[in-house]
Amino acid sequence: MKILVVDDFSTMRRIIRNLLRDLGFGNSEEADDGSTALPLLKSGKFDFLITDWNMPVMEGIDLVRQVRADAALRELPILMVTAEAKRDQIVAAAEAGVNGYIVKPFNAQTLEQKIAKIFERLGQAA
Amino acid sequence: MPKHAVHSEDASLTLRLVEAIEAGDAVATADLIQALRAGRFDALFRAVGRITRELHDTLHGLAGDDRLVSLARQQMPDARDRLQYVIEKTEQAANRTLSAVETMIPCADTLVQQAAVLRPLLDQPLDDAAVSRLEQFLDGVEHDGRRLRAGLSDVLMAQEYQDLTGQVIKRTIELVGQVEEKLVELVTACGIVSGAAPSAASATSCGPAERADANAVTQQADVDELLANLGF
Repeated sequence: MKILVVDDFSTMRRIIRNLLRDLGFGNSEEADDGSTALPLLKSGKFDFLITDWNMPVMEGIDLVRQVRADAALRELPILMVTAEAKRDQIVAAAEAGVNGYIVKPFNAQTLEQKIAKIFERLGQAA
Repeated sequence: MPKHAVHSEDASLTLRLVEAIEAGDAVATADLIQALRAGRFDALFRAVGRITRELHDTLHGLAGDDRLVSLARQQMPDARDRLQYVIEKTEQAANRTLSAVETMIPCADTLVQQAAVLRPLLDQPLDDAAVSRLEQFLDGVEHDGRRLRAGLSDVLMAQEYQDLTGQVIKRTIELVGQVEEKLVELVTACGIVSGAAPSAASATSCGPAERADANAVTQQADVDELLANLGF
């Protein structure tokens, strides 16, 4: 499974990619905001997207909307991993079409659970 | 000039204007209309002049406030640089720690895997080949152990950022406090009525909800519950 990790902080990208590797997802790439992520997603055949919310140029929530509006990408599972923890924001993310939402700081176990849950649900839906 | 004074002056001019019109005195009428308009403009100009002077005095007083000048000209830009330094320092520390961890994880994995592979050797009497493999393993343990030791002390040393950045942040907090004080003075000097409800600045703010307001959830469990209510 190929995963794209989008976060403006390189250290957070590194942490997430390390955790993913420990979870058996060794195939990941990274982007530093929505505007650099989108072309990668369009050309890269990714199976999963993990994105932060608050980033320069294109925020995560806009990336989610753009992905959902793109015919080729609309089915891509998305996990939002963010420090944004307001109810309105979580509701907005849900409405925009995320499949899961993790608030920072988080741990490996939470990441594992949320990814598992997303694929479990997608499996049920299929 | 007080309002009623303007009005009584206007009233007397108006009265004379009516008389002039009734008398059919075109010249006096024109003069009086001119005087009425001029009077109004005079009052307006005087009011504008007064406000301008007050504003000038206020701004002049503020400009003469050395503390404010120093805050605006030096300390705020300085604080920005310092906060930038905090970002750089924390990023460096995080990368240094991550690099150490990334070298240590394979070490630990190798040790665990090799131990598991070699354990069956102990099920039977050790022949020379088995002893040699175990010796090799022990060499590896020493080698990897030293690497783990080095990595861990690197992680330890990387934590020095907390002291350095903590001091900078502390000073910046003090500075923000001083700026706040000056802003309150400025607002008071400008006669802006205080007590207005704080604007919904939080709507555009971002970052972790450290001091959670009612709208913020703080735990992953709360997020999960909220999403579950939304059918997730």
